[in-house]
Amino acid sequence: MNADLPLPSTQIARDKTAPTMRFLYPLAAICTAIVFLSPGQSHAQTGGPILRADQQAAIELALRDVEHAMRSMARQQLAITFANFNEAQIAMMVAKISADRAGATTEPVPVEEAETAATAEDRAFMRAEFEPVMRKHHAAQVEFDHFVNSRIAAHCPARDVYARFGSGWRHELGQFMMESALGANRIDDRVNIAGEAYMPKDGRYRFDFSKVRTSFDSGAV
Amino acid sequence: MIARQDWAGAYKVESAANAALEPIRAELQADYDRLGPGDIGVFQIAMMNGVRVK
Repeated sequence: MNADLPLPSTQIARDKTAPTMRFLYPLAAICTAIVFLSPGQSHAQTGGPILRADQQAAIELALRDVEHAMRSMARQQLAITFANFNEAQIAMMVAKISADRAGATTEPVPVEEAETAATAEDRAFMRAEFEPVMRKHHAAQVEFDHFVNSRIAAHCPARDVYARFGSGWRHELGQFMMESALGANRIDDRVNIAGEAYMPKDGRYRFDFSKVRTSFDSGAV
Repeated sequence: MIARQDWAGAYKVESAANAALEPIRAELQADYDRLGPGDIGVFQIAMMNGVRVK
């Protein structure tokens, strides 16, 4: 009884007279894709969108400031951008470009000063200005450091006062205040390193050191 | 706490004390800056704003 029933895999091979409609569906899909993917009226195969006259004029106006070598690429980019703008937007853009150009032509051309280097005499001149003030300032700093550190030490315990020691351990309380160290650097190093670094290198200058404090009121401190 | 080697407790107490002292430190530092001769930054500012004479 089972011998008369064909196996499923043999049915197609035996049915040779059936129409082969299944090949039509991929063909239809390909034709549809060709229709939708082919270039339309607004996108020619040779390049960008079709532009109105005002858009083209605006592009040419914008390209005036672009280097010749870059104009081809810039034109394509501008065409893609400007194609989305209507007449009013293009007119506004052209007016803005024109106004910028008019303003640019009236601005004075900045005059570049020629670079000069400070001579040895210039450096000596400026060093004679800052070195005495820097030394006075440093002396005041050292005096201030000694003064406030001694006052703090007199009123606040150092870290060793309440330190506790054990076998292999030590616990100490932190200091109330870090010691003042304004004048910790050697003054000769400060003059030679910081002073020389701060000094302008392009000429001779005069400095205003009126805000430098070379003394302090110990009573107020 | 230290005698008992209660380090966690000592750390907490010291941290609390430091937090309480911080406003006093800040006030003292502000007085240092106001009454003292200041640091070397004032020279840098003065020499950056010099007037060219040549």
